[in-house]
Amino acid sequence: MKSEPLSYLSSENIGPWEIYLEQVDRVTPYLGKLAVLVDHLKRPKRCLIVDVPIHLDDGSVAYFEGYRVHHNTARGPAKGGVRYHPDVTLSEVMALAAWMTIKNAAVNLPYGGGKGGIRVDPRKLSPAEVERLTRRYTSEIGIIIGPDKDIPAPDMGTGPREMAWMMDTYSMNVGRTASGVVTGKPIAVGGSLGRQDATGRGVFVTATAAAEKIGLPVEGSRVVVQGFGNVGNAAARIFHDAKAKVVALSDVTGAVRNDAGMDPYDVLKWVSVHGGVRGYPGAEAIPPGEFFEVPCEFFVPAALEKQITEHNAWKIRAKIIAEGANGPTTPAADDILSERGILVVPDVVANAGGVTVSYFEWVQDFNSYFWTEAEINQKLERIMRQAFEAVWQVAQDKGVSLRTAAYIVAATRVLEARALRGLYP
Amino acid sequence: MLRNAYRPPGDSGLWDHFIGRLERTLRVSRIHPETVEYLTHPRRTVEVSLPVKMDDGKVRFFTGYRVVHNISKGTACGGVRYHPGVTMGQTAGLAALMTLKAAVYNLPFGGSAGGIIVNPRALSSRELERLTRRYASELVELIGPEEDVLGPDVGTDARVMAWLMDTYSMSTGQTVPGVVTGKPATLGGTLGKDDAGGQGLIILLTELARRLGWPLEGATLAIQGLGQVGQAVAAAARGAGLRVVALSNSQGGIYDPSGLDVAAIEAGARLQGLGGRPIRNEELLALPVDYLVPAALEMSIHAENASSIGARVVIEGANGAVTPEAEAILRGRGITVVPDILAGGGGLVASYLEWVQDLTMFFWEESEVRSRLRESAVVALESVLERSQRLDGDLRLGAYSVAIERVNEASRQRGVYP
Repeated sequence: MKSEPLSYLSSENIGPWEIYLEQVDRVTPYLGKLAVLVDHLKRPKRCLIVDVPIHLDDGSVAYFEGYRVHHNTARGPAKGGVRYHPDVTLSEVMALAAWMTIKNAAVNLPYGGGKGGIRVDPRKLSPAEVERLTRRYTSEIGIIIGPDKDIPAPDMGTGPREMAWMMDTYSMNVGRTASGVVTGKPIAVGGSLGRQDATGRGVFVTATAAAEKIGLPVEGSRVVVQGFGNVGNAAARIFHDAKAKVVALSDVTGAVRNDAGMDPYDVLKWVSVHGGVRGYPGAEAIPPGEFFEVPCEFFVPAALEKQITEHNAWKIRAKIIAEGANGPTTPAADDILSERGILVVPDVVANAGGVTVSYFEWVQDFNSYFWTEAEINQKLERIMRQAFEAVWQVAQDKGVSLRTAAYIVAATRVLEARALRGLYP
Repeated sequence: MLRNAYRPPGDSGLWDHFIGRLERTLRVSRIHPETVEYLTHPRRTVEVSLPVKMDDGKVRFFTGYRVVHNISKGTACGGVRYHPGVTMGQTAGLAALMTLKAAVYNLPFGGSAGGIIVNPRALSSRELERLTRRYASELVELIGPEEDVLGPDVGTDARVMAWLMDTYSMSTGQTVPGVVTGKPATLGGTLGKDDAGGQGLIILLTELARRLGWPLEGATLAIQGLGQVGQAVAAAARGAGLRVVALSNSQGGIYDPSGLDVAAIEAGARLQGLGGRPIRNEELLALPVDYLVPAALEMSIHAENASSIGARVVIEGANGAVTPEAEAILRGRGITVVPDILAGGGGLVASYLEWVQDLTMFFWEESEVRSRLRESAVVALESVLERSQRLDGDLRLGAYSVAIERVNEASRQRGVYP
């Protein structure tokens, strides 16, 4: 029997959840016998909406709307970030939770998907107010989180500081040290080494794995990186370490190019002083429009979503695009790239290095025994390579893009777990 | 002394065999009288009534058991059997064997076992699921990754383990893969577990052969029972260069002195289509082979057929495959018996490795699981062999002696609560 639409989302304004549902519909024909269970993916397991009242510094009380959604827990506890942003909605949190289910399954981590958020602009609050907000929110969602239930992590507007507060609040509430309740913590309270570069490293590993498939050597290849934040600069550095040439970089301040290759470590020094790549003396400035035309083997979009569109997709002169950012390629651009024979390693696999090291953090917290950075990088490479390999195989077998294949792999794994576990009670 | 031992109601075969063998071991192994009391009394026996709504709407009542025999060395761990012949005595006996097996392999486990009196093949998949979930619900307060870990046994499989895991997880409101072992890999199972029982058995056989000068390359092997263990033994034997000449299941068997096509069995072929001469089970036991692996149910080699056994070495693939009376006859005829608590440890080691991975939620490569399995088997074998030789006794005596002394040491160190 087909399930009814969810009554708690207004059908006129379903928002990002609608996009997710369309993605599920697109892969359903590839799911074989498991397709009968697909409604399981189209309904979140539970949505918790909480009121978060706090004392502001001036003594008045402000009220905020908070969410925590468990999209699916068939493969393990829910896992996903907490977003502090004034535009957060239930629909958005639901969609982000669902995408975590997909991402965790695509990389084969023993997790379901979850996400949380508060409708708030954290920049308008003092640190003390953010702390009170975080602690109250953690207490409110405390009934459904825990190391074996749901493990929050940082997202937009939150970071290690908030994670430490969440860990502390939860631990105090349950009366014991529960460092595994959140990931992305500072090292001092059970965080993991290797987290800083994890996403960039994952981009490199999956891009390299893709290159091997098409017989493209990394050494001596040219790399263009859009965005020089956490992900972009790590990817640039790791490509550079592997003797690839970083020929163009960009960030909000501008774009620079040097066909002989740049040293990203040197660029990083410049950026830390000058706040951006603009004016970097080891390269020449180019207009943002030209950035997409720089000939290269690897193009790494590591900035915002919807950067590669139908307007610039036909200009890109790369062999492989490895999506460091979430959703950098629009569907229309995807079609153009595929027609032009450019291989796109999709975000759910390419940028899963972050959640994979989150997973390692959680594993280490269970053991209270911590690994060296070398151990972490080696395990990260193994998991990312296996993830890419599985997706590649499905793409070959079914003749679909890596993006579709990643969704097929993920949906199949989730529904397989669902089928094995059966319907409780 | 052992006259004080626990007496299960009704048929008590396996439990009595355990007590008898324990008594025999106590003549050579000195352990504290309190440990003897612990070993002769299961820590906990539970009988549960399981009402299940059948597909036709009627409610049928089944009887289930769970016995925790001993927890001196750690969390109880043991299988769940679905079989019409399940009894409390059998369950208690299997639980005691698990205590000993875990001790022989020096795992941080105590022993337990469970079962339901049911023929699972007579139930629909839905009925089986409801039965399994009700059984898990009845036991939910008594089991858990740190209390009592369940695993597959005769009549249960990865599917049943998945239902048990789901029911326990939903009841406690969190994901708890470590409450059962033998799960599908998707739900926190380990790689390399399906054939661990067979792999472990063949590792022991080859290591024993190397040390004791038994024949190996081209040596002949007969296997009774083609369940998970029997099949894995056949495959591993082929890998070790042994010649599998006879196989049987409950319908009967086949025999070809020049060797059977084991690869076809692995590929899922039916026994009767494999060529070879059809033989009855009793004939299989009497074949003149180097090695005989009874891997069906317990007590398949008993006083009536022991004198016709044609093998030089009998390796117990199934728990309690050889009765004590049969063993005395085999001993008299110079036939070596490799006991269940040593030979059948591969499955338990795999369960242990799965549980460890579940506790940390970090999963290993298959090669890692395999090398740890081999390591454990060799260490267990060496301690048993050394003890047997020191006691100038058989491998059963050595294995029992090693096991009860380890349990004794753990009991002594823990003291009596409170």
